[in-house]
Amino acid sequence: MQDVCTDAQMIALLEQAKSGDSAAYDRLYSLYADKIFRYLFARLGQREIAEDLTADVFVRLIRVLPSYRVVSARPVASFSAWLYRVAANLLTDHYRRQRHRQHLDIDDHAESPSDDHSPDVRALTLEQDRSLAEAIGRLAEEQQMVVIYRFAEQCSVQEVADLMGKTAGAVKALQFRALANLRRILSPE
Amino acid sequence: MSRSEFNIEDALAACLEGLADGQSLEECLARYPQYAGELAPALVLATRLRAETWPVLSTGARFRGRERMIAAFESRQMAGAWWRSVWGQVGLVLVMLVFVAGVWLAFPGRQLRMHNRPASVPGLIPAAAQSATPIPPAPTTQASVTPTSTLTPTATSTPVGKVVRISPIARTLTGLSLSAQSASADLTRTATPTPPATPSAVPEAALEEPAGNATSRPPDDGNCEPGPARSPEPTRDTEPTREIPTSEPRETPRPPRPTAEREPTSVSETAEPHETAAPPEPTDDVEPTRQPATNEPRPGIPTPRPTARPEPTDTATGATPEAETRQTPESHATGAPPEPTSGSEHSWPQATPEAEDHSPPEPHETDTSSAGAQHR
Repeated sequence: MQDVCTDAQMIALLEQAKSGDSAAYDRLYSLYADKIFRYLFARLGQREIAEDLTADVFVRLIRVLPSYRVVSARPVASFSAWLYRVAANLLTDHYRRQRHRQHLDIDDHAESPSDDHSPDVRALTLEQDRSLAEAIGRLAEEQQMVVIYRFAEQCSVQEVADLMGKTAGAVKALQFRALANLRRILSPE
Repeated sequence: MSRSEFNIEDALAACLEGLADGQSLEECLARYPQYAGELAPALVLATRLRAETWPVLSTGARFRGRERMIAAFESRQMAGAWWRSVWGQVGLVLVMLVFVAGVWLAFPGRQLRMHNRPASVPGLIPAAAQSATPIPPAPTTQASVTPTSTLTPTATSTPVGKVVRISPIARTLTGLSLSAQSASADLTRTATPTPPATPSAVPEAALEEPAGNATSRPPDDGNCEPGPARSPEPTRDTEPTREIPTSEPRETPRPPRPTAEREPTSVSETAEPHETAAPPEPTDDVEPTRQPATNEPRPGIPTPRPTARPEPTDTATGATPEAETRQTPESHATGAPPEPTSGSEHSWPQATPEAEDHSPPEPHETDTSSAGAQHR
């Protein structure tokens, strides 16, 4: 993971943002906008929606950051995990709205390319690299997260462990299973 | 398997770290030959994922997202400011309310009303006292007694002035009732003026004034010694004055001498009068009259009325009995208080016995005659 900044800098930045400094929010946006977008795009597969949701994440950040308690131990990892959690919640809300629309449309013929997995797969199938995106979409959520953190965000095992709140061994196991499942999905057999 | 897999997981993680550090795939697989068959496809996939160009926010999306965030930030700031202003206003209002409440509570009168409801009585007392100065029960009782006393002075005074008027009226009307009524009217008049002059000293003047109106005042003044004593009491209660009139006629008969004597007695009857009556002349006159009378039992007929006898006992502070004693025998003798008016008119000195008769006005005439005859 590319460290956006040191722990001390992150603490100062968060304190400034909590005190109402717009420059601090702008700085946080610059540091995390792409990461959040990639995370959302990897799970959604739709650029426009991912972009809108990314903006929503930072709008919500302004609302909830004042109540965020800075962790002095691992401020960067803690804040990153918390911000990803915010994005995940927004994504869940998005799925709920989408399901509601689908029920209203009553489109029985609408085929879901991967009904056995979350609607993320459907979104990912819309992207150009449909095979890889579809394969990632078929993974379990934790495995998806590990793949995104490890290969999209270039995070280390320990960093992923910190982000996900798991041990390094658990992350390694999730990583191995995710790659094995992706290989099965991508292989024609 | 679990062990091998666990080892494969560690081997995979180590190979991925080596690839990230720039090691080649072969080098990594060479370190874990037992897992080379399983690690090779995983490492190839991992390399592909890392080589994949992950999407990035477009410039437009980045700009829009930043604008939205800034707008949200500003709106939140404004909302916070608005809430601050609202809370500030609320706080200001609360402060004002607290101030008003403090002033409300600080105000003595309010406090008494608000908190000291039980204690409010004392608080109210002052106000009540002001307006009720006449009201106070004690004074009223005295007033009830005093009316008699007030009447007595009038009676004493009436003898001179009133007698002239009343006597003809009574004669013509053939009834003391009429005379009594007129007397009562006069008394009421006299009494009414007194009320305004509540103060002890004032009442005297007030009594004098009505006397002046009645033309009999000068003598009243002479006799009025009781008057002054009366003044305090009668001034307050108009009722007593009304009642008094009835008694006045009765008393008026007394005037002859009893008036002088009685007046004192009447005055003495009223506890207050004594003190007030103590003043100059009247006291002297009264006292002597009293002393002789005092010897007799004081049934306590403070007021001239015979009916009042029982009552006066209460108020009969001592002097009253004298008058009563005198009166009672006479009244008993005469059997009625008739003459008071006429007798008083014609002969004050003669009427003294008559004056003793506090009995109703009607008998006055007969009484007067009989009484005057008796005395004489």
